[in-house]
Amino acid sequence: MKLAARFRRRISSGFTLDVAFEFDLDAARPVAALFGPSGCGKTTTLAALAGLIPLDSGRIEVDGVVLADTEHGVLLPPERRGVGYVAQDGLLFPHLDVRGNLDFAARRAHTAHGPDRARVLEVLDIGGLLDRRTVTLSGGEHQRVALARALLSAPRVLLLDEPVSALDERARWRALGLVERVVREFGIPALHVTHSRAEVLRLATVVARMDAGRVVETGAPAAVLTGPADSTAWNMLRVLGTAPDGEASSHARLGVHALVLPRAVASGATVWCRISSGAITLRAQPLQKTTSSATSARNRLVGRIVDIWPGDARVRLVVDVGVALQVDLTPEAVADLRLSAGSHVTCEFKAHALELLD
Amino acid sequence: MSGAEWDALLLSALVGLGAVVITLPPAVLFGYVIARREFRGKALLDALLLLPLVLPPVVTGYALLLLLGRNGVLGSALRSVGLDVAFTWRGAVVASGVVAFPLAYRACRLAFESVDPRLEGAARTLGATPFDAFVRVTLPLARGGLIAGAVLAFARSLGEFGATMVLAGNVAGETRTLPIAVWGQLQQPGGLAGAWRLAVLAAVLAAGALFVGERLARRSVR
Repeated sequence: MKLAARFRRRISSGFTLDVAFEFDLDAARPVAALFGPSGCGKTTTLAALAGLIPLDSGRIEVDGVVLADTEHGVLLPPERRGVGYVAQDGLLFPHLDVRGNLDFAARRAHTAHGPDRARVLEVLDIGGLLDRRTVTLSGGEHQRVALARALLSAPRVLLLDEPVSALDERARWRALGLVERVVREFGIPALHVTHSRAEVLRLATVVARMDAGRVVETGAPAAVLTGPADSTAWNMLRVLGTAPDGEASSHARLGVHALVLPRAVASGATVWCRISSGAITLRAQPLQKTTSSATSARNRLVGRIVDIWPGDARVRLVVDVGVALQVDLTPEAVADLRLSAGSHVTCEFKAHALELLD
Repeated sequence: MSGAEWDALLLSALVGLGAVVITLPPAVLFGYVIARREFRGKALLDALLLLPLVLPPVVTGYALLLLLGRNGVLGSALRSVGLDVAFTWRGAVVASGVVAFPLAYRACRLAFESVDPRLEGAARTLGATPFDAFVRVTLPLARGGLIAGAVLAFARSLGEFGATMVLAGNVAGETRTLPIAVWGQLQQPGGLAGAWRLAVLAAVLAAGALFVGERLARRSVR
């Protein structure tokens, strides 16, 4: 499944969108991300993909279908592009109830082979909301209905424009899980637009980073998102509960590493947690498991430094412990420990520095 | 109340309805275009559409008479197909419609401006053509404002005097609406009582229209 765009569009005298990316999406997890600060042109890029703004020049192709090609005079109108657009505020029609919103999309679906309606209602858990007016929905319900509406239009691709950023932290994380599930279950690829590194790392297999109207970098999330340290980064970790069958404990596993969590999770449960790049301590040599150490930090992960990004007040190191951990140190600490790319280190952090998100 | 007074009341209501019927379609069209599109000369077009609001109605009526009178450019053409406008009920409808148009147009424009254009974009991505999106999304969301515009145009038409007088004159049962009947009463010795009765009738009719319109507009907002 290929998603390719290369186009220019002058927005104002000071801002021209000049976008180029090409994603080859994996059928098992077909999510790409557009990442960048607000005002960088992400939303306008989606509007161009959806056909809501014209191109000055360029070409857009989704899954072998050319949506626009200015050289050959192709410019499909939005209603013939088959894009399922979900905005940050959902854009549900306020004069229709939930059922009316879903029907609006279903009646105009360009193919009869779209997702099964009953299944969509079930997966997004909105079967009980059908007669509700949209203004009475909670933020999470609103976005679930918006996603269902987009699915019922039988799209070739989902364009998700910060679909969860209006929600609070926990609801946001749950909603992301739902996006993941929807993409897998209905096999519809998605382009997820966000300014959150955590969302990119959780959802996407490939990301394009945008700045000032341009795509400045494309690649795997862990590689693209470890840029110079301008602010604290969140490491998103997917851990597996390792309590004995049927029990719960605070012991878990991250790849080959044993972890201690701040609270108990069920055996076999997969949970997401996060830790800030500033909460991790580095020890200069790999610590043997048997070595006793006079520290209260319960978690010790051995790895190798793969990247160093010097900044003014902090240096960001990327440590490969099976996953890429981002660690911020002071320039003095980096000098004292003589750290460089390739150094073997131990990452240490307290159980309570981990925050469980599920 | 005399038969002539009832006639004037009924005629006023019919002329008002006629004015709404001929005013609303262009008001919706121009209101939508000005609210949504950017083009050269937009401010000028907007000013032109509002012109009848600031011109003295007598001047508007005279301009219409030049256009639609027996020797007018449009008037002679219409006459050749058997349609007389000046000094007929049609003239009364056209005169009050033109004078009421800016109010309806402004209300429609504001109603469309209050609808988030991104909702139309969302409708398009869900498979709606531009017309489909307009009819199914924009119009229902703008409905309250459009009704308010229609009611305003009706009410303005009830009070219309100057342009009607010039274009349609004072023909009993055909162009003698309430304001013109009031004016006629005031020209006669001892007509003051009759003028008062007509004035009260006009006020009741206008207030009733505004009340009904307000209810309709509110219901559409839900």
